[in-house]
Order: sequence, then C-alpha cells, then structure tokens
Amino acid sequence: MKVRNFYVIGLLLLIIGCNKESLIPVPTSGINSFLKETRPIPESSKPLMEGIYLVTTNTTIFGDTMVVKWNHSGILFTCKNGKHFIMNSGYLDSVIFIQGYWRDGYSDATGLCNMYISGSEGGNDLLEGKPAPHIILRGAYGTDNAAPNQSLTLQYLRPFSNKVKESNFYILGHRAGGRNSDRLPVSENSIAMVRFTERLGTTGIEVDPRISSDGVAFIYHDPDINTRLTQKGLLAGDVSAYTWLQLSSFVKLIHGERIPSLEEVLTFAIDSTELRFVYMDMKSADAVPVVIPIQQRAIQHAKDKGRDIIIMMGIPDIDVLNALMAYPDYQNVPSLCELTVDDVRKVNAKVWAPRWTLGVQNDLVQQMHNEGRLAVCWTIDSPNWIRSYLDQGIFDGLVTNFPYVVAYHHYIQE
Amino acid sequence: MHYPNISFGYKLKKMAFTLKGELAIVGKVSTKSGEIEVSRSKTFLNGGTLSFYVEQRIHHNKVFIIGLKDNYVKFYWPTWMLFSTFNRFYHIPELYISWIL
Amino acid sequence: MVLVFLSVVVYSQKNDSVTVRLNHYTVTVGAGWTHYINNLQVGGENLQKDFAGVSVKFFWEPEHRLSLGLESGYYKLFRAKGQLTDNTLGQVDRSIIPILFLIRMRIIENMHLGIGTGIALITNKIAGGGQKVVTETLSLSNFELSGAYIYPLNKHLLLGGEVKLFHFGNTEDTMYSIQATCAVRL
Repeated sequence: MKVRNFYVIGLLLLIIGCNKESLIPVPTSGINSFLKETRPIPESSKPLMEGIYLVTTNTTIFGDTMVVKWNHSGILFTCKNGKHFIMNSGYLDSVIFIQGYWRDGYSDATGLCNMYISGSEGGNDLLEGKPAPHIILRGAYGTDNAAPNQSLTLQYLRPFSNKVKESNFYILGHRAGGRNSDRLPVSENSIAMVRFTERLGTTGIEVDPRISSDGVAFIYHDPDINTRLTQKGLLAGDVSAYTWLQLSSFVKLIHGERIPSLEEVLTFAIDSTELRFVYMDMKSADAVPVVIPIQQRAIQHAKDKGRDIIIMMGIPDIDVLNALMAYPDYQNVPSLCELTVDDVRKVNAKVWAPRWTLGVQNDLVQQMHNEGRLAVCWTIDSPNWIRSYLDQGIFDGLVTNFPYVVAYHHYIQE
Repeated sequence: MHYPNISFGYKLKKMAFTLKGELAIVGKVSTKSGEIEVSRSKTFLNGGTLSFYVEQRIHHNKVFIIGLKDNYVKFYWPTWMLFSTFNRFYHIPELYISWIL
Repeated sequence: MVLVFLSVVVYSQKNDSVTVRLNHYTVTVGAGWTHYINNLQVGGENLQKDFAGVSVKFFWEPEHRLSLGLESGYYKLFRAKGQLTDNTLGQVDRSIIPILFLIRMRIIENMHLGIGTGIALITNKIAGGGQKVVTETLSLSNFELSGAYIYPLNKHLLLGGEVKLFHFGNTEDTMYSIQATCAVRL
C-alpha cells in the first residue's frame, strides 16, 4: 500500500507596510459650501462668541462642555476627549453660519459639521457687537463626507474667566502643530503646518532646525530621509549630507510640500500668523552659528512689524549648550534650555523647558519665575496628564501634539 | 497584561505544525510622573495575535522551529506602550526562530 | 499591501524520500538579473531598473531537510536622472549590500525554498550641479524569499538557478533577482 505523505509547506503571511500611516481625507463641503454666500464676521463680534458652551445633544460623543475659540484662521470648538471642530464662519442678514469638519485626535473618526446662530438666539446681538446673554448654536454633524445628520446643539454657558483672559499661557504645537502620525492634513515641520496650526488652538510652535551640507538652515525632525517624513523618492540617508538645492529639488514631505528653510518659517510666522512663541529645537550643534543670525534678523523683523512674538534657540543637549557658549555675547542670544536650572542660569536662557516626565517641579519652576524666566514642558499628550499639569503645575506653556486638548483644559479654567 | 490563547497542532512523521491565537488584555495601567500618578483600571482589549509555527529536526535530534506571528494590537509590548496617544490597531509582524538544544 | 504565499506539496511514495545525509557545508556563488519594483512617489519617471547582481552564500547543511546559512551580495537597485535646476541635471544611483541569515528547506529532491532576514547597507549616490554626495544607511529590517533548484553534478559541485525577492525596510525598496548559481560542497 502506498503511503501518501502530505506536506504542507506553510502559509506565509507577509504583511508589508501594514503600519504605514494612511492619510485620513479631510471632509469638505466643496462646492456645496454655503459660506461662500456669506460675509465675514466682524472682528468686534468674535470675542463675544468665545466661551464655554454646554453640549445639549450627543454628549456621549462630545462630552458635556465645549470650548469655542476664535483664531487667526477660523474658529475652533474643542472637547475634553480630543474631539475638535475646525470651522469657518460668515453671516447673512442676522444669521451667523459656521461650517467645517470635526475630527477625533486620538482615532480616525471625522466628519462634516454645519451650525448656525439665528438672529433671535444671539445672532442679532453678536453682529451688532453687543454681548448676547443667550447664544444657541444649532446644527448637525456627520461621518466622513456624508451630509451632517446627527443633531448637535451648543448653549452658551459663560465667557472665559478673568484668570484665563489675563494669562499669557503658551500652547505650543510640537513640530509646528503635530506629528505625521497624528494624521493631520499637512506635514509636520512645513510651512503648510505653520499656516494650519492656529486652527488647532496653538499660540506658538516648536520646530526642528538642521543645516544642509552647504550651510542652509532648514526644518526637519529626523536625521535621515525616510518614508515617515517624506514621499518615497530618490534620496536616502543622512539629510544633512545633501545640499540645499538637492533637498529642495528631490525631496517632498508626506503631503507634497517642500522642506522649508528656517528663514522662510520664521518670516511666515511673523508676517502671516498671530503666533507668539517659536521654539527652535536645535538638532545639531553645528547649526548654532548658522541659526543665530537668522534668529536675530527674525527678531528685528518682528520688532519692526510690532509683532508680539518670542523666538528662542532651544538647547536640548550639552553639545548645543557648548556651541552656544562658544558664541560671543551668547548671554544675549534668546534661548530656551532643556537641561538643568543651573544650565539655564549659566547660559542666561529666558526659558527653562524640562521633559514632562520629570513632574511638575513647582519649586524649580517658581525659582525660574522669581528670576524673570519662563518655564514650559514637553511633550505632553495624554488628556489626563494635560489636565493634571494644568491643575497642579505652574508652567507658562506646554508643548503638545494635541493643542486642542490643551486648549480645552486651559480655556475652561475658572 | 494577560494572554488567553488557543493552539491547534498537527504532527507528521518529520514535522509538526502549530496554529496559535492569542488575545492581549490589559488589566490595569498605572503611570507616575514626579509626584503625580495617573491610573487606568478599566480592563481593555489590547488586541490579538495569530501565529503559525513549523517544527522539524535540524541536526541529530535537535529541533528547529520557525514561525510567523501577526500582532494586531494597539500597544506592542517590546515598545513603550504606556503613553498611548492613539486609539488604533496596528499589524506588527514577528519572525520567530527557535532552536531546541 | 498584503502578500499571501501558500505552498502545498502533496507527495505520494512508498518510503520517506529523505534519506539521512551527512553533515556538510556549501559555498554558493550566483550572478544574474535584478529588477527593481518601482514604488517611488517622487522622481520615479525614467528610472533605470534592470541591472546585474551577484550573490555569495555559505550554508551548513545538516542531515535533515533544513539548512542554515549566510548570504551577501551586491545589487544595484536603480539609476535616475532628475532636474536640479532648469538647466542642471542630477543623477542618482542606489545600491545595496545585504547580509542575511537564511533558513532553507529542501522540499523535494533538488528543490529548495528559503526565507532570510538581516541587515543591509544601502548606498545612495547623487551627482550634479558640481556636487557629489554619497550617503550610506544601515537598514535593520529586511527580508528575502527564495526558491532554488540545485542539481548535483558530482559529490562536490552543484549547479542551479534561483529566484529571490528582497524587501529592504529602511527605504521600503523591493526587488527581485533571477540568478544562475554554482555551489561547492565541502
């Protein structure tokens, strides 16, 4: 009898690139947008719309309260749990229309949203520049590009507290607003991100300067050209080995943008945004002598334009510290030191920036305040930790990949 | 973390095969930074894995095992899982090589 | 992208065809054609993707079906020309030296399937505009799948052919190679 031997070699399941961060399309009303028929909201009306709102429908999705805050580019609604709305607004007659999209910063959920404030529910007063005691935003939200069909109603509760209005707290967007893995519609460390970042609630940015082989300062986080940051292209290896012309010609960031020079980023931040803080997290000590004159020109340009913005050279390690201290008159170079408070004093840094995992360190932060310095910590992302640090810490700012979460917990304070 | 699992095996004269499925369940997460502690006690499903192993003799009676495992999880244990910022599952393949001496 | 590779061999015979073989070692050299699977998102037009490649392998072949070995080689992945400025061209070349640990299994007489993983040194060269830049990157996450037919001419010399697919994780490059091989059994 023949023996039948049956060999199963094996099932080889090869999963290639399954962890590639897929891009989440931004929902858009496109040609159906009704805002194109409206007029811009008067500047005097905007602060009157800001404040804390009660969510009276769909609280399981968005929580009980929402913060509504205008920014340079539009209006942000932000919730406790990372969900937020990136909106634009306009008015027609006495009705204020608000349209845009919502997304969940911690997952892939997103969708369209249309809201309005009728004349009798606050629209009239707001458009006349008068505080409205009762403001109700009515509308709906949807999923992905589907038409909004889930009811959403927000009822004005109160304005921001005096504590919040008088504070100069900095919400610093990490890598100019967020990482590529946060699936924002623009690439990290790009001009497009600097343009977009205020929509997320940031009031400042952290960027990552490096220099090319021919001495041009640009912003790019990783030391090598890789498919996390760039579209797959012809170049590979150490990014600083290439000339600026080669990088500009052959490299595109994930969403198609060019790698920006540091000078372009600072000029854009000063001329085209209302950002108040730029934290340059120096990626190499070699970049220090190149970046200092760029920083000085930018500070002068901001002063000439009357812009309230601080531009700090970040010191992340001892090599950058030594490179800065080798510069003549280093004590007058505005800097931000991530090392110890003694290093802060040694280099006369204006800001101390410890890693958030070291704790709130209120005693050391108070020492910095007593010496006329600021203190911010990095990079804090979990909503529970953000709330804890705002409640129990006395930092002047937080660096985060989730500025809308920091914005919620900051603006809701009483 | 807990890994309830189920395995099926089949042995031939010269080779043995194992198909194994696991669930990855996190019972409690506690993190501390400085003086502040934040804990999460709600048990949650981290994900699951599916793996396939082939065993055969390589030299004399020593057995060699090669396997492929797909981890479909939010937090992968060899990497830093505690400070999660994403509520997403990822496919993380593992190549398993073992030599039983 | 998900690749599913399923291979089932049903073998009908009276006795187990695997006679116990003696423990030995082989050194294999191979040469042949390589083809780069173009997945470039930038600069992928007019890419030269076909080149010659060489490989060398050292295997320990114990008495059963499995063999363990090391493989290296030299492969040019692609050559491309791109516009640096309006009137300046640049040329980019990428090549790879993999060093992989291989596990190979004899399926039926003379036919083998293998899987390998290891490191690879990726060299990128760009020239143009008066500048020449060479960068080297070490890729840690790489794998190879191979299928080979190896025919023994005599006790010490074997000839054959091999098809293999490589994926290099650091740059997400994929290529395949078809090679003629010559092995010396020690």
